[in-house]
Amino acid sequence: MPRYYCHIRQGGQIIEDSEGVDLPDIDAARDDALHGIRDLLSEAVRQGKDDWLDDAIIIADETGRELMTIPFIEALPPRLYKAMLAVLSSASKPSRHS
Amino acid sequence: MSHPLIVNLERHGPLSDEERQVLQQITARVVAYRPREEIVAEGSTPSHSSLILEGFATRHNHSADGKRQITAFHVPGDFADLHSFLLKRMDGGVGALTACRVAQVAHGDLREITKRYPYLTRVLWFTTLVDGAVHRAWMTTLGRMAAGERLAHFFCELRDRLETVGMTKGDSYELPITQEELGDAFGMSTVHVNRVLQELRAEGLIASHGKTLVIRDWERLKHMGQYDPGYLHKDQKLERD
Repeated sequence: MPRYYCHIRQGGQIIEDSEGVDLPDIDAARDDALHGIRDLLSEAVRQGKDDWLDDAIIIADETGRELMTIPFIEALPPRLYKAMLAVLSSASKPSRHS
Repeated sequence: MSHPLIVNLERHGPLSDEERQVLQQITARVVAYRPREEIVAEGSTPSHSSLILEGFATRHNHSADGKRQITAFHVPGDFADLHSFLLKRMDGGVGALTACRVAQVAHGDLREITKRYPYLTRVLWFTTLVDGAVHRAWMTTLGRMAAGERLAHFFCELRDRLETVGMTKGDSYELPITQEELGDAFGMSTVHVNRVLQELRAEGLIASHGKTLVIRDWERLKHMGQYDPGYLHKDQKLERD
Protein backbone atom coordinates (compact mmCIF):
# COMPACT_ATOMS: atom_id res chain seq x y z
CA MET A 1 0.00 0.00 0.00
CA PRO A 2 1.24 3.51 -0.73
CA ARG A 3 2.00 5.84 2.14
CA TYR A 4 0.23 9.19 2.37
CA TYR A 5 1.27 12.18 4.45
CA CYS A 6 -1.23 14.69 5.86
CA HIS A 7 0.51 18.03 6.38
CA ILE A 8 -1.53 20.70 8.15
CA ARG A 9 -1.47 24.25 6.82
CA GLN A 10 -2.25 26.46 9.79
CA GLY A 11 -1.96 30.22 9.56
CA GLY A 12 1.17 30.77 7.51
CA GLN A 13 2.80 27.67 8.89
CA ILE A 14 3.01 24.04 7.76
CA ILE A 15 2.87 21.30 10.40
CA GLU A 16 4.64 18.49 8.69
CA ASP A 17 3.51 14.89 9.00
CA SER A 18 6.78 13.00 9.13
CA GLU A 19 5.26 9.53 9.60
CA GLY A 20 2.40 9.14 7.14
CA VAL A 21 -0.15 6.33 7.01
CA ASP A 22 -0.36 3.35 4.65
CA LEU A 23 -3.67 3.45 2.77
CA PRO A 24 -4.99 1.70 -0.35
CA ASP A 25 -5.49 4.83 -2.51
CA ILE A 26 -5.98 8.59 -2.60
CA ASP A 27 -9.72 8.24 -1.86
CA ALA A 28 -8.88 6.48 1.38
CA ALA A 29 -6.30 9.18 2.12
CA ARG A 30 -8.95 11.86 1.54
CA ASP A 31 -11.39 10.07 3.88
CA ASP A 32 -8.63 9.81 6.48
CA ALA A 33 -7.85 13.52 6.14
CA LEU A 34 -11.55 14.48 6.42
CA HIS A 35 -11.83 12.33 9.55
CA GLY A 36 -8.76 14.09 10.96
CA ILE A 37 -10.12 17.55 10.20
CA ARG A 38 -13.48 16.72 11.83
CA ASP A 39 -11.60 15.49 14.89
CA LEU A 40 -9.66 18.77 15.07
CA LEU A 41 -12.81 20.84 14.45
CA SER A 42 -14.84 19.08 17.12
CA GLU A 43 -12.24 20.00 19.72
CA ALA A 44 -11.91 23.54 18.37
CA VAL A 45 -15.70 23.99 18.56
CA ARG A 46 -15.77 22.64 22.13
CA GLN A 47 -13.12 25.21 23.02
CA GLY A 48 -15.03 28.00 21.22
CA LYS A 49 -12.25 28.56 18.67
CA ASP A 50 -12.76 29.66 15.05
CA ASP A 51 -9.13 30.33 14.14
CA TRP A 52 -9.17 27.34 11.78
CA LEU A 53 -11.29 28.88 9.00
CA ASP A 54 -8.38 29.26 6.59
CA ASP A 55 -6.56 26.07 7.56
CA ALA A 56 -6.20 23.10 5.22
CA ILE A 57 -4.70 19.65 4.95
CA ILE A 58 -2.26 18.93 2.19
CA ILE A 59 -2.03 15.28 1.21
CA ALA A 60 1.38 14.33 -0.18
CA ASP A 61 2.91 11.09 -1.38
CA GLU A 62 6.23 9.52 -0.40
CA THR A 63 8.18 11.65 -2.89
CA GLY A 64 6.79 14.82 -1.28
CA ARG A 65 4.52 15.54 -4.25
CA GLU A 66 1.35 17.35 -3.16
CA LEU A 67 -1.67 15.38 -4.33
CA MET A 68 -4.60 17.23 -2.84
CA THR A 69 -5.44 20.21 -0.63
CA ILE A 70 -8.53 19.99 1.54
CA PRO A 71 -9.67 23.21 3.22
CA PHE A 72 -10.95 22.54 6.75
CA ILE A 73 -14.35 24.00 5.89
CA GLU A 74 -14.87 21.21 3.34
CA ALA A 75 -15.14 18.79 6.24
CA LEU A 76 -18.19 20.60 7.62
CA PRO A 77 -21.64 19.02 7.17
CA PRO A 78 -23.16 20.12 3.77
CA ARG A 79 -25.44 22.98 4.87
CA LEU A 80 -22.82 24.45 7.18
CA TYR A 81 -20.26 24.23 4.40
CA LYS A 82 -22.55 26.18 2.01
CA ALA A 83 -23.26 28.75 4.68
CA MET A 84 -19.54 29.16 5.40
CA LEU A 85 -18.77 29.60 1.68
CA ALA A 86 -21.36 32.38 1.50
CA VAL A 87 -19.94 34.09 4.59
CA LEU A 88 -16.36 33.82 3.36
CA SER A 89 -17.13 35.10 -0.15
CA SER A 90 -19.05 38.13 1.16
CA ALA A 91 -16.25 38.85 3.64
CA SER A 92 -13.66 38.82 0.84
CA LYS A 93 -15.56 41.37 -1.33
CA PRO A 94 -14.22 44.91 -0.93
CA SER A 95 -16.59 47.04 1.09
CA ARG A 96 -18.08 50.10 -0.70
CA HIS A 97 -17.66 52.25 2.38
CA SER A 98 -13.94 51.76 2.82
CA MET B 1 21.43 -6.48 32.62
CA SER B 2 19.44 -7.17 35.77
CA HIS B 3 16.07 -8.84 35.36
CA PRO B 4 13.43 -6.14 34.76
CA LEU B 5 10.69 -8.03 36.62
CA ILE B 6 12.91 -8.38 39.68
CA VAL B 7 13.83 -4.69 39.47
CA ASN B 8 10.14 -3.81 39.26
CA LEU B 9 9.05 -6.02 42.13
CA GLU B 10 11.93 -4.98 44.42
CA ARG B 11 10.62 -1.40 44.36
CA HIS B 12 8.09 -2.73 46.85
CA GLY B 13 10.63 -4.44 49.10
CA PRO B 14 13.57 -6.83 48.82
CA LEU B 15 13.02 -10.38 47.60
CA SER B 16 14.76 -13.37 49.16
CA ASP B 17 17.43 -15.24 47.19
CA GLU B 18 15.00 -18.10 46.75
CA GLU B 19 12.27 -15.81 45.41
CA ARG B 20 14.66 -14.20 42.95
CA GLN B 21 15.79 -17.62 41.83
CA VAL B 22 12.27 -18.89 41.27
CA LEU B 23 11.45 -15.77 39.21
CA GLN B 24 14.55 -16.42 37.08
CA GLN B 25 13.44 -20.02 36.60
CA ILE B 26 9.84 -19.35 35.58
CA THR B 27 10.89 -16.62 33.11
CA ALA B 28 13.59 -18.68 31.40
CA ARG B 29 11.57 -19.53 28.29
CA VAL B 30 12.08 -16.51 26.05
CA VAL B 31 10.56 -15.86 22.64
CA ALA B 32 11.58 -13.07 20.23
CA TYR B 33 8.97 -11.14 18.27
CA ARG B 34 9.32 -8.84 15.29
CA PRO B 35 7.87 -5.32 15.35
CA ARG B 36 4.03 -5.38 14.98
CA GLU B 37 3.89 -9.15 15.47
CA GLU B 38 1.05 -10.59 17.53
CA ILE B 39 2.12 -11.91 20.93
CA VAL B 40 -1.24 -13.10 22.25
CA ALA B 41 -4.35 -13.23 20.04
CA GLU B 42 -7.59 -11.56 21.09
CA GLY B 43 -10.02 -14.32 22.10
CA SER B 44 -7.32 -16.99 22.56
CA THR B 45 -6.80 -19.06 25.71
CA PRO B 46 -3.06 -19.06 26.38
CA SER B 47 -1.44 -21.51 28.79
CA HIS B 48 1.18 -18.94 29.79
CA SER B 49 1.41 -15.26 30.68
CA SER B 50 3.73 -12.94 28.74
CA LEU B 51 6.36 -10.89 30.54
CA ILE B 52 8.05 -8.18 28.46
CA LEU B 53 11.85 -8.41 28.87
CA GLU B 54 12.83 -6.07 26.03
CA GLY B 55 10.87 -3.79 23.73
CA PHE B 56 7.47 -2.12 23.80
CA ALA B 57 4.16 -3.97 23.56
CA THR B 58 0.48 -3.01 23.50
CA ARG B 59 -2.70 -4.44 24.84
CA HIS B 60 -5.59 -3.79 22.52
CA ASN B 61 -9.25 -4.51 21.92
CA HIS B 62 -11.17 -4.23 18.68
CA SER B 63 -14.72 -2.94 18.43
CA ALA B 64 -17.17 -5.15 16.55
CA ASP B 65 -16.74 -2.97 13.45
CA GLY B 66 -12.98 -3.48 13.52
CA LYS B 67 -11.64 -0.31 15.12
CA ARG B 68 -8.65 -0.76 17.38
CA GLN B 69 -8.46 0.68 20.88
CA ILE B 70 -5.04 0.40 22.50
CA THR B 71 -5.74 -0.14 26.19
CA ALA B 72 -2.16 -0.24 27.49
CA PHE B 73 1.45 0.25 26.50
CA HIS B 74 3.80 -2.21 28.18
CA VAL B 75 7.50 -1.78 28.79
CA PRO B 76 10.19 -4.16 30.07
CA GLY B 77 9.34 -5.62 33.45
CA ASP B 78 5.58 -5.55 32.76
CA PHE B 79 3.40 -8.62 32.53
CA ALA B 80 1.11 -7.91 29.57
CA ASP B 81 -1.43 -10.56 30.56
CA LEU B 82 -0.85 -11.90 34.04
CA HIS B 83 -4.65 -11.93 34.25
CA SER B 84 -4.88 -14.74 31.67
CA PHE B 85 -3.73 -17.11 34.45
CA LEU B 86 -7.19 -16.85 36.01
CA LEU B 87 -9.37 -15.25 33.34
CA LYS B 88 -8.25 -17.84 30.74
CA ARG B 89 -9.87 -16.43 27.61
CA MET B 90 -8.22 -13.19 26.46
CA ASP B 91 -10.74 -10.36 26.13
CA GLY B 92 -8.04 -8.35 24.36
CA GLY B 93 -4.84 -9.07 22.49
CA VAL B 94 -1.17 -8.31 23.07
CA GLY B 95 1.06 -7.12 20.24
CA ALA B 96 4.71 -6.16 19.79
CA LEU B 97 5.25 -2.49 18.91
CA THR B 98 8.99 -2.92 18.48
CA ALA B 99 11.16 -6.00 18.37
CA CYS B 100 10.43 -7.68 21.71
CA ARG B 101 11.88 -10.40 23.88
CA VAL B 102 9.11 -11.95 25.91
CA ALA B 103 9.27 -14.56 28.67
CA GLN B 104 6.42 -17.04 28.52
CA VAL B 105 5.54 -17.91 32.09
CA ALA B 106 3.56 -21.13 32.30
CA HIS B 107 0.28 -20.84 34.20
CA GLY B 108 1.29 -24.04 36.00
CA ASP B 109 4.34 -22.22 37.37
CA LEU B 110 2.18 -19.30 38.51
CA ARG B 111 -0.06 -21.80 40.30
CA GLU B 112 2.99 -23.21 42.11
CA ILE B 113 3.99 -19.69 43.16
CA THR B 114 0.57 -19.05 44.66
CA LYS B 115 0.91 -22.30 46.64
CA ARG B 116 4.46 -21.88 47.88
CA TYR B 117 5.39 -18.19 47.86
CA PRO B 118 2.74 -16.02 49.53
CA TYR B 119 4.83 -12.82 49.38
CA LEU B 120 5.56 -13.24 45.66
CA THR B 121 1.87 -13.92 45.11
CA ARG B 122 0.96 -10.62 46.77
CA VAL B 123 3.55 -8.57 44.94
CA LEU B 124 2.47 -10.03 41.57
CA TRP B 125 -1.15 -9.35 42.51
CA PHE B 126 -0.04 -5.80 43.33
CA THR B 127 1.23 -5.34 39.74
CA THR B 128 -2.18 -6.24 38.29
CA LEU B 129 -3.78 -3.72 40.67
CA VAL B 130 -1.42 -1.03 39.39
CA ASP B 131 -2.40 -2.02 35.82
CA GLY B 132 -6.00 -1.37 36.86
CA ALA B 133 -5.02 1.99 38.35
CA VAL B 134 -3.33 2.96 35.08
CA HIS B 135 -6.50 2.02 33.19
CA ARG B 136 -8.52 4.26 35.53
CA ALA B 137 -6.09 7.13 35.05
CA TRP B 138 -6.32 6.74 31.26
CA MET B 139 -10.10 6.56 31.44
CA THR B 140 -10.10 9.84 33.32
CA THR B 141 -7.90 11.54 30.74
CA LEU B 142 -10.00 10.08 27.90
CA GLY B 143 -13.29 11.15 29.39
CA ARG B 144 -12.40 14.44 30.96
CA MET B 145 -9.31 15.98 29.41
CA ALA B 146 -8.49 17.74 26.13
CA ALA B 147 -6.35 15.98 23.55
CA GLY B 148 -3.12 17.81 24.38
CA GLU B 149 -3.58 17.23 28.09
CA ARG B 150 -4.07 13.49 27.51
CA LEU B 151 -0.77 13.19 25.67
CA ALA B 152 1.02 15.38 28.22
CA HIS B 153 -0.26 13.05 30.96
CA PHE B 154 0.89 9.97 29.08
CA PHE B 155 4.39 11.34 28.40
CA CYS B 156 4.78 12.02 32.13
CA GLU B 157 3.50 8.55 33.05
CA LEU B 158 5.77 6.80 30.58
CA ARG B 159 8.82 8.68 31.86
CA ASP B 160 8.11 7.50 35.40
CA ARG B 161 7.48 3.90 34.32
CA LEU B 162 10.61 3.74 32.15
CA GLU B 163 12.72 5.31 34.88
CA THR B 164 11.90 2.35 37.16
CA VAL B 165 13.56 -0.07 34.74
CA GLY B 166 16.47 2.23 33.88
CA MET B 167 15.25 3.21 30.42
CA THR B 168 15.42 6.99 30.75
CA LYS B 169 18.41 9.23 30.17
CA GLY B 170 17.83 12.29 32.26
CA ASP B 171 14.60 13.70 30.91
CA SER B 172 14.60 11.78 27.65
CA TYR B 173 13.56 8.33 26.57
CA GLU B 174 12.94 6.25 23.49
CA LEU B 175 9.34 6.60 22.31
CA PRO B 176 8.87 4.01 19.56
CA ILE B 177 5.14 4.75 19.28
CA THR B 178 3.71 6.13 16.02
CA GLN B 179 1.14 8.91 15.79
CA GLU B 180 -1.39 6.33 14.62
CA GLU B 181 -0.79 4.22 17.74
CA LEU B 182 -1.00 7.24 20.04
CA GLY B 183 -4.27 8.08 18.31
CA ASP B 184 -5.62 4.56 18.84
CA ALA B 185 -4.73 4.77 22.52
CA PHE B 186 -6.04 8.24 23.25
CA GLY B 187 -9.07 8.51 21.00
CA MET B 188 -7.63 10.87 18.41
CA SER B 189 -7.04 10.87 14.65
CA THR B 190 -3.41 10.81 13.48
CA VAL B 191 -3.88 14.33 12.12
CA HIS B 192 -4.92 15.48 15.57
CA VAL B 193 -1.99 13.72 17.24
CA ASN B 194 0.39 15.43 14.83
CA ARG B 195 -1.09 18.86 15.61
CA VAL B 196 -1.00 18.28 19.37
CA LEU B 197 2.64 17.11 19.26
CA GLN B 198 3.47 20.25 17.29
CA GLU B 199 1.76 22.38 19.96
CA LEU B 200 3.66 20.65 22.76
CA ARG B 201 6.92 21.30 20.89
CA ALA B 202 6.02 24.91 20.09
CA GLU B 203 5.18 25.49 23.76
CA GLY B 204 8.65 24.26 24.68
CA LEU B 205 7.33 21.31 26.70
CA ILE B 206 8.87 18.52 24.63
CA ALA B 207 11.28 17.99 21.76
CA SER B 208 11.67 14.94 19.61
CA HIS B 209 14.76 13.72 17.83
CA GLY B 210 13.85 10.70 15.72
CA LYS B 211 12.37 8.21 18.17
CA THR B 212 13.74 10.01 21.23
CA LEU B 213 11.37 12.15 23.26
CA VAL B 214 12.95 14.89 25.34
CA ILE B 215 10.95 16.46 28.13
CA ARG B 216 12.11 20.07 28.10
CA ASP B 217 9.90 21.41 30.86
CA TRP B 218 8.81 18.69 33.29
CA GLU B 219 6.91 21.01 35.61
CA ARG B 220 4.81 22.58 32.87
CA LEU B 221 4.20 19.23 31.15
CA LYS B 222 3.02 17.79 34.47
CA HIS B 223 0.80 20.77 35.04
CA MET B 224 -0.72 20.55 31.58
CA GLY B 225 -1.40 16.82 31.95
CA GLN B 226 -2.66 17.27 35.54
CA TYR B 227 -0.23 14.47 36.28
CA ASP B 228 0.14 13.07 39.78
CA PRO B 229 2.09 9.79 39.81
CA GLY B 230 0.41 8.52 42.98
CA TYR B 231 -1.62 5.94 41.02
CA LEU B 232 1.57 4.16 39.92
CA HIS B 233 2.36 3.29 43.58
CA LYS B 234 5.99 3.15 42.49
CA ASP B 235 7.72 2.92 45.84
CA GLN B 236 4.92 1.60 48.00
CA LYS B 237 6.31 -1.05 50.32
CA LEU B 238 4.56 -4.36 50.83
CA GLU B 239 4.62 -6.12 54.19
CA ARG B 240 6.28 -9.48 54.45
CA ASP B 241 4.90 -12.18 56.77
